This record gives sequence, C-alpha cells and structure tokens, in this order.
Amino acid sequence: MNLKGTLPALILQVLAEGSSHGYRIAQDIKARSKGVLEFKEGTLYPALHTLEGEGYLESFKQVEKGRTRRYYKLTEKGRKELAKQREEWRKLSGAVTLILEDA
Amino acid sequence: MGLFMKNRPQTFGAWFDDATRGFCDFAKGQVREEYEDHFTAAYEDLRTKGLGEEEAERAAVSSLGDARKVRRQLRKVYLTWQEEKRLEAIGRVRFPFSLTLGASAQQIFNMDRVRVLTFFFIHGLLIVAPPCRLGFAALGPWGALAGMIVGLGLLIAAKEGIFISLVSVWGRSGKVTRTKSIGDALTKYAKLCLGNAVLFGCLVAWQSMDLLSARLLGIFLRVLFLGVGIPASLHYLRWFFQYRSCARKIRSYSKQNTTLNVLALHYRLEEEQKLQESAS
Repeated sequence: MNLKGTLPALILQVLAEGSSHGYRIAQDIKARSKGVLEFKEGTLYPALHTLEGEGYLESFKQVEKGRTRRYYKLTEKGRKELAKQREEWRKLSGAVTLILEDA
Repeated sequence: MGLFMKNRPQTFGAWFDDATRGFCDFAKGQVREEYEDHFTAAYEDLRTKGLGEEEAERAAVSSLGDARKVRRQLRKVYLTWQEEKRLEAIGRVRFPFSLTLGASAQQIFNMDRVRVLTFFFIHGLLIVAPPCRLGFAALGPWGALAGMIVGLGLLIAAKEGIFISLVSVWGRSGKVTRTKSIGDALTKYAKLCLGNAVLFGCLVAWQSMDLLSARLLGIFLRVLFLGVGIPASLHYLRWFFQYRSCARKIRSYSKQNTTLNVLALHYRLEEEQKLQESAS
C-alpha cells in the first residue's frame, strides 16, 4: 500500500520512541505495519532531511559496530508536530470510516 | 517493462550516480554516507538471509527504489550545481557595476565623511560581508533583497569598494586552476586579464575625473550613475527572482550546518586556496 504524504508522520512516530538511524527507521515502519505499508527506502532520506530542516528532528553521529552512523532524534517542536498530525489523522480516518461503513 | 528493468541500475554506485545527477558536490557528500550505510545494512541483512552476493546487491539496490523518483525528492531539499553556481554569486560583488556606481554616487552625494569612516572598517566589512549576505539570503527573497540594498549602500558609502572588486577578481583566479584543458585555462586566463584591464581602466578614469570642469564632471557622473544604475537594477531584479527558488533550501542548509560550513561550501574558499597553493 502506498503511503504517500504520510511518511513524515510515520517517521516522527518511530522517532518518538527513541533515536534511530535511517535503515532502522525504514525497517521499523515496514515491520509495524506488518508489511502492509510499502515504500522505497531511497525516499526516506529526503524526508528525514526535510524534517530536520524544519526543526522537527536533530541529527548526530554515532559509531556503531565500527561504523559511523547518522542518528536522528525528535525535538520538542517535532513532538508537538506529531501530536498535531496524530489528531488530524484521527479526524480524517474517523470521517472516512463513517462514510465507508455507511455504504 | 523489460527495457525499463534492463535500464535499472544494478550496482549501488550506478544507482547513486543516477539519483544525484545534477547535484552539487556538497549535496552528494551529504547524502552519500547515509545511502551507502543504508545499502550496506540492507546488503548484510540479505546476505544473512542466505542470498548470494550478486542477488543481495541487486535486491539492496532495488529496495532503494527508482533513482529518478529519489532525485525528484532530493531536489526539494538539496541544491543542484546550477543553483549552487547562482549562490556563489551572492558573495561576489559585481564588477565594474558596483565600483562605478559606488564611485559616481559618492561624488554626486558628497559622502566623504562616511567614506573616511568606512575606510577604517573596510577590512572588517570584507570579513563579515559574505556571512551577512548569506544570512540575509537565508531569510528568504525579501531578506536577500534587503542584504543587497545594505551591501550596495555600503559600496556607495565607501569609495574603497575598489578593494572589494579586487578581491572579487582575485577570487575568480582559483577557477583558472580548476580547468581541465590548456585551451580552457587560457580562455579563462584571458578573461581574467580582461577583467583586470577593465579594472585598471576604471581606476585611471576615476583618478582623471578631477581634470574635467565641475559642470562637465557633474553631467558625466550623472550619466554614469544612471547608465550603470539601470542595468545594475535590472540585474539585481533578475537575481531576486532567480533566488526565490533557492531561498527555502538555503534556510534548510543554514539549519543543518554551521555558517562556516555553508560558507566553505558556497564560496569554495578552502578548495580554491588549496588549488592556488598547489598551482604555485
């Protein structure tokens, strides 16, 4: 299933539970949706960098198994944005469910 | 479909080159490390699942997705080399526009006192000018315009704008050493010499102005001011619209990197210095 437009919110949600690097974020999103949400992993980094540019994320480098990796963590601004997006999603999905279940 | 599949990059290097085609070196450097790390992690995962080397590489590349789609996404965040070229112009004062405009305007408006004061700070101004201009640019198109007005105001106030122009010409000399063929180098060198000759000509004309009568000088300077001012205004107007597309990206860059890193990128000062040192 295409997750067009929802990737930033999913990234924020994954990072709300702790800092992580790109590959793990991608795997987390796929695993949590039980394989329903499919996306091409190359598009993850532009999204991460955009979120960082907007101040929702912060990045830092950390050495892991002898490899330097760029980790991302949620900022306070990012937390607020996540809460906002969650609320919007709840409203949207509720409205769509109402319509579809009526049919 | 078969043809499309055949054209898809099979190796990470080819995929990355395709995804970052047209981007500036800084942008490539920023994303390369992460994509490489991602690819390596995916490859290792697939290998532990029992896939062969080639198969694992193909699958890891395929998981990154269509390089063209990634390129489109990256374009929203990073600068292409064309945009970077335009950005380089931020730190460079246009010559001889600024010099001539500055010289004629300060004669017309008789700004000697301001000029003397700014003379003492000119070196300081030279140091702070590029980060200030970049800072203004980071505020968006209106900020960039404000920066230009401030910069132009300083040039008008300071007759010593000539030093800035000299620095500008000197800065360009680094490009000569970056050329690949002798013909190219000679062309660039000739352009540089021509630039210096124009500079010298302006300097001579500037110094000879006192030989004219006051009335003639007044007419000459007003014509010069208008003649240079109008094309300069048109040039800055075009510049303003060109930069609108880059402003958001510059803001994003500024947040992700320290000012010094951004400067090192956009003006390539370090690179130019190294090249000049190696050439000499």
